[in-house]
Amino acid sequence: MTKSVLAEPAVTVAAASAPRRSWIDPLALWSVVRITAARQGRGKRTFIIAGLLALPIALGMIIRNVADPYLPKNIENLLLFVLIFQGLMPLVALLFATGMVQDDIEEQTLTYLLIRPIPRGAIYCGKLVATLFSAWTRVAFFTALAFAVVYFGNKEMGAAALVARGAVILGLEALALAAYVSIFGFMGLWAKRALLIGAIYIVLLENALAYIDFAFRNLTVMFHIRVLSVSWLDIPADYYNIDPATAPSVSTSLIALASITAVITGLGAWIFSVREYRMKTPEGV
Amino acid sequence: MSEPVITFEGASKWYGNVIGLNNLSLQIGPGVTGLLGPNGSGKSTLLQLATGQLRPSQGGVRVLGYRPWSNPELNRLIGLCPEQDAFFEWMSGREFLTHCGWLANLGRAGAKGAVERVLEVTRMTEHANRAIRGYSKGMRQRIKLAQAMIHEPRMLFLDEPFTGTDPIARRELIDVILDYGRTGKTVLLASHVFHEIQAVTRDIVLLNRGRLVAQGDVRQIRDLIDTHPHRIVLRSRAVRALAASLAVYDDVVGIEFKETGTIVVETNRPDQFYGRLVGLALDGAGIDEVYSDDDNIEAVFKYLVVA
Repeated sequence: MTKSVLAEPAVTVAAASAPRRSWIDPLALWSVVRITAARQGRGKRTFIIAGLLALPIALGMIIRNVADPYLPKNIENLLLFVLIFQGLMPLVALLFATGMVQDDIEEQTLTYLLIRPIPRGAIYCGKLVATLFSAWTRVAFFTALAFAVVYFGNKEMGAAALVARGAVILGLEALALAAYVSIFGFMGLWAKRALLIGAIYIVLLENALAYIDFAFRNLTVMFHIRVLSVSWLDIPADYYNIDPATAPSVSTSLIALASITAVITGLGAWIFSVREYRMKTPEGV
Repeated sequence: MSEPVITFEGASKWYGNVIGLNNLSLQIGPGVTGLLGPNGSGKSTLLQLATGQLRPSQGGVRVLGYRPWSNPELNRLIGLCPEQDAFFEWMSGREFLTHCGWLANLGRAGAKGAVERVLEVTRMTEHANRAIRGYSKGMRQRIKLAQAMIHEPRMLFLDEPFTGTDPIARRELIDVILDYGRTGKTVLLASHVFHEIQAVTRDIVLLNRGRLVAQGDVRQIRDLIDTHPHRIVLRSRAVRALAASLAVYDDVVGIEFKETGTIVVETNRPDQFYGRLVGLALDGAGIDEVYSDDDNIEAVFKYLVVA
């Protein structure tokens, strides 16, 4: 039985007049981006990623010393377009993006973002931007180093051509990472074993399926990145089992990548907005 | 009671098969209100519902006339000091508060001024540039309270804000909360320690097992609680000297030595005992932490619920 020791108060609801501002404060969003990026720059994960991304550089140095004749284009293909583009780049996106919300949940710091006057969808997008920044800066830095190792002392291409080629490669990485970060960020919201599922996704869909000449590969990020690589970097289409006659145009691939990124980001923002994040307290309830 | 600012109407919250709140109907008016209940009573669930972090499974919740669930408009008007001891540990106190100011839409200049203000209020100015990871428990509680107040919210929700603090920090935090309440704003303070709540308000809400047990004036609750012996846990660097200094008081009816540096004191006059602690701490008793053993308050709740 309940003992009530106070009379019931009047049943009225106080109406508050909040300062109504429908826009999202850019400084608040910038804060979300900075906090997320700062977290991603710390911890074991950063060292693991740096170690993984250093592999192509180490491999490139070894190959330069032993390969005879040394063919930079072939080595570039192996180190950049196979090792980094197909393996390490999606893996880095996976490692960063699956933790972008999960880290805040595990460390119980999400509360500090959720109790602020920012729509949850905007918080999610801010985190995604930070994750893209974290992933791209690291991948781009190590790609540039690997690129330098491959072409150092090369006389076939002029400096201007090398810089232009490098810039296109880094641009392609930004496009791919935007899509991957949105996919793996979304995965991190609902999958309990997001890292495992993401790794399987990378191997099966983004590598095996993207190579098979079948309509479904149009849904993979890697296929469109390969189409753009063929067009912009003069990589032979048969490397990727692409028929130039039936391959999508550059604009189609750009639209496909932008659409994948936008749709999956929208879905992620929606899930983040409607989901409850219960902070466990020492007392349990 | 004047016009209620927080209303729960048959609100329930379930976590799977576990009940967090059970058909709670409650109205809380302006001013400082204490939310008292033992561990697992639903205090944190109530605060998470009121601050829009959780959605009620059933029934409704209104805060300042708004539905709180995921409501940025309401978030402009409320501040929360959460229970969990979690921070962006790499930041300094000042950086943390600056980000909280930015997140609260204060703008750069507004946030800068607000940070200095709350640092001053919580007496953290001299520690503001140190990394949070190096803060003592008391400092962490102060900075957590500071972030809740940074945007001068109309309503402040405090979840166990005194946990792990020493008597001096506790006294200072109580003063901060009292000052905030005096400005006419609403404060809802959740604690499982009756005397912490009694120190800041006479209006009290009692919860147990997710249900409202009682709501009313603190004196009526206190009469019930004082009939039970009160157990207080003290952690100290000089635990034997502390025990010796406490043993001389009539109201101390038992002292039990626990693990290293910890004693449990039984007193039948908790008011006097708590009042004395600040003096002892200032005299160099080396008290690092004080908290109430839950058993005594649990007994009162059982009495209230089973009657």
